[in-house]
Amino acid sequence: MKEEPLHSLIEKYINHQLSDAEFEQLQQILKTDAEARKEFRRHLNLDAALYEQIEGEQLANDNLFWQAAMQDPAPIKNKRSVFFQNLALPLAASLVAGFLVWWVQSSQPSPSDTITSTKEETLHQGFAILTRMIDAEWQDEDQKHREGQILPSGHLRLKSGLAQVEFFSGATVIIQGQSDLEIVSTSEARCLSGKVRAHVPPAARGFILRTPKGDIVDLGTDFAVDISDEKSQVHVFEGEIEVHQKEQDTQSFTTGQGFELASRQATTSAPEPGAFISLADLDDRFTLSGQSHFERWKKYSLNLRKDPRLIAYYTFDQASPWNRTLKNVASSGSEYDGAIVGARRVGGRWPKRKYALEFKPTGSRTRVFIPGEFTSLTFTCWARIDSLDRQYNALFLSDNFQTGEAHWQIKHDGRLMLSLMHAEGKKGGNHTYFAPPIWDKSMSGQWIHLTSVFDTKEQSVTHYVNGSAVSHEKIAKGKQLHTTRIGAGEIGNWGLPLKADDPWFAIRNLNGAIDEFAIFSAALSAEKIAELYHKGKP
Amino acid sequence: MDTPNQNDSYEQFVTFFTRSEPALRAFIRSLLPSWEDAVEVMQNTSLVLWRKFDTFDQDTEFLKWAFVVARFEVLKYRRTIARDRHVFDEDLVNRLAAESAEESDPLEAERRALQICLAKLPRNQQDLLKAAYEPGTKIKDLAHRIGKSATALYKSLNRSRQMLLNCIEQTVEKEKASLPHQS
Repeated sequence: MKEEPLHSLIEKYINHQLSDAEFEQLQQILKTDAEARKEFRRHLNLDAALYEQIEGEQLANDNLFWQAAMQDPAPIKNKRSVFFQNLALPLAASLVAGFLVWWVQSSQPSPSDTITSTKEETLHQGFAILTRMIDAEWQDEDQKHREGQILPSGHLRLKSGLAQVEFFSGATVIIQGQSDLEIVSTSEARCLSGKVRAHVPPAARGFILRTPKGDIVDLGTDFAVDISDEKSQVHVFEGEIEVHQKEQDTQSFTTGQGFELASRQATTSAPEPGAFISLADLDDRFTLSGQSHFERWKKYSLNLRKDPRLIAYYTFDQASPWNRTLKNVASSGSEYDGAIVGARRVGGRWPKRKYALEFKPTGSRTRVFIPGEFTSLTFTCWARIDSLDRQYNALFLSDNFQTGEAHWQIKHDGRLMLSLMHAEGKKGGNHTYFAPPIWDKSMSGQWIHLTSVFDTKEQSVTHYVNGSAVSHEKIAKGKQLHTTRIGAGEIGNWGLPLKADDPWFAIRNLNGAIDEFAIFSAALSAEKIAELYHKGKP
Repeated sequence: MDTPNQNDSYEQFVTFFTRSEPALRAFIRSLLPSWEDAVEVMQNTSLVLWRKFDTFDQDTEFLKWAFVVARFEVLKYRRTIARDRHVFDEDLVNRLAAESAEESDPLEAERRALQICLAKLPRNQQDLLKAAYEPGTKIKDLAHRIGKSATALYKSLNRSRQMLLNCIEQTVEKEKASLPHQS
C-alpha cells in the first residue's frame, strides 16, 4: 500500500501534475523517510538520464562543429551536452582567439563571490530563532531542532510539547502541541494547524499570522489562534488585531474578544483557562523543566566522580563567587584543582544553578597541573562558543607540547582538533587529527558537548559532538604514541610559552565559556560518551 | 598569451567535468521542480566550477566539490522562484543533497544500461519518450498532436519509465556480476 502512493506522487512530481496538497504530502514523506528519498532519487536520476540521452541525440550534428573548435576533443568525444557546450563554446573560441587570459581574468571571482561567502550567506539566512523548547517532539523525527537555531523559511511541525520562536522583527510566537507553523519572513508566519500564541510588542507591529481561513494583522498585542479542520478560533488577550479575509471587509477585534474566523461573530467569553499558554506560564514551565534536567545531571555527576578512570573532573558548581579555584571533584582531589586567571564566572547550562567560566578577556585561562604518565586519554567538556575568533581556539592545551602531550582545540573554520606530539623537536613530530567542521555561526551561544578520544591500544583518535562520533582516524605507523602526559596546562587558553626558542606566542583564548570539563585516563566507549551527553544536556 | 598552465587546467577541467556531468545534472534535477530550472542552475554551476577551478583541491573528489557548489547554486536559485511553485523547502533540499553526495557515483553504468534498455522498448514507446523529452515539448501539445489525453500520455510515459528502471537495474546488476571480482 505504502509504495503505491509514493510512486505515483513521484511520477506526478516529474510530470508537474501534483496538487498543492499532494506536493505537501510528497515533501512530508521525503522528509521523514530515507527509503522514500532513495526511491525519489532513483526516479529523478532516470529522468535526468533520459533528458540527457534524448537531447544529446538531437545535438549530435552540432557537435561536429564544437569538437572542431576544441583543441583536443578526445576527453569529450562521447559527450553531447547542451550545458557543457554552452560553456565550452565561448571557452574554445576564446582559446583559439588567444583571449583566454582576458577571459579568465574577467571571470575571476570578486572577494565577495567565493564559495565560502556563499556558504555563510546560507548559514545566516533566516527569519527567526528557535529560542526555547519544553519537551518538544517534532513530527519529522530526523529533523533536529535545537535551541538557538536560526530558522529560515519553512515549516515547524510540532508533535507535542512547547516551542518558542522569536522573529527578527521582535514578535514572539509560542507553538503549543501538535501544530504546523510555516515561517514566511521576519514578520510573517502561517499557521496551518494547531495552537499558536503571538506576543507582538509595539516595535513589531504589523506582524501577520496567516491561517487557511484568513489573515490576522497584529497592531501591537497578544493574541492566539487555534486552527483545525473543524474550527479556526482567534482570541485577543490584549491590544488590537485586524482580520483580512477574501472578499470581505477588514474587521478589527480588541482586548478580551474571541471569535471564529468563519463567522467573525465576536464573543467576550474568555478562552478556557489553560487553553493557551502565556509567556509567563512558559517561563515557569521552562524553569521547572530546566530544574529537572539539572537534577538529573547533578545525580549523574555525583556518581561519575567515583569513576576510577577519571584523572580530573571539574563540575563548575561550587558556588563561591570570589573563589579563584576551580575545584577538582575526582578522587585525585585538590592537588589537581584549577587556578582561575582572568576568566569570568557566568551562568552555565542552567544559569541559575551553576556557573561556567567565560574566557573572553585575551589573557583569561584556568591553569592546572596534572603530573604523571598515562596511556589512552579522553577529553570531554560542555562548551558555549560565541565565535571562533582565533586561528586556534583553545579547549585544553598542555603548556610545552612535549612528547606525549596533547592540544585540544577548535580551528577557526569550526573543525574540532586533537594534536599529539609523538617526537618532540623533530620536523613532523606532531600530528593533528581533525573532525569535520562541527561549529558554525548559527550555533553561536549554544551549549555543545565535545569529546575527543585518543586510544593508545587501537592507535586512533575519535571526535564526538553531542554524544555522536563525527570522525574516527587511525594513527599512521610512524606517528604512534603509547605514553601520554598532561603536566602543566590550561583550559580555555594557551599562553605560557616557556621555551625561549619557541617563536610562538599565539592568542588562543576561547570566545565563549566552558561548563564541566573532564579528562579520563582511558578511551571511553561511544555508549559512555552518549550517556555523558544525554545526562548532561540542559 | 595562453600559458601552457592555463591550457592544462582547462583540459583537466574538461576531463573532470565531463565525467561528472551526468551525476551533477541528475543531482541538480532532483532538487528543483522542473527541467527549465535545472538547466539554468546547471549553467550557473558550470560557470562557477570553471571560475573557481583553481581553488579546487586535486586530492579531493571533483564530483563532491561540484555537488557542494551546485547545492549553493540551487539554494540561491530556489529563493528567486515563485513561492507558489512546488519547490522543496530548504531543509529537504539540504537533506537530499547531502544524501546524493554520499552515494555519489558517476552513474556511468546506468547511462550505458539506459542506451541498451531504450533500444529494447517497443518502437512507439521509444518515439513517445523522445518526443516528450525533446527540449521545449509541452505535454499538452504533444498529447493533442498524437490524439491522446494528457492523462493518458502521462500514464504511458510513467509505464515506459518504470520499464526502463527495471531494465536498467537488471542490466547493471548483470554487468556487475559478469565482471571479474575486484576488491
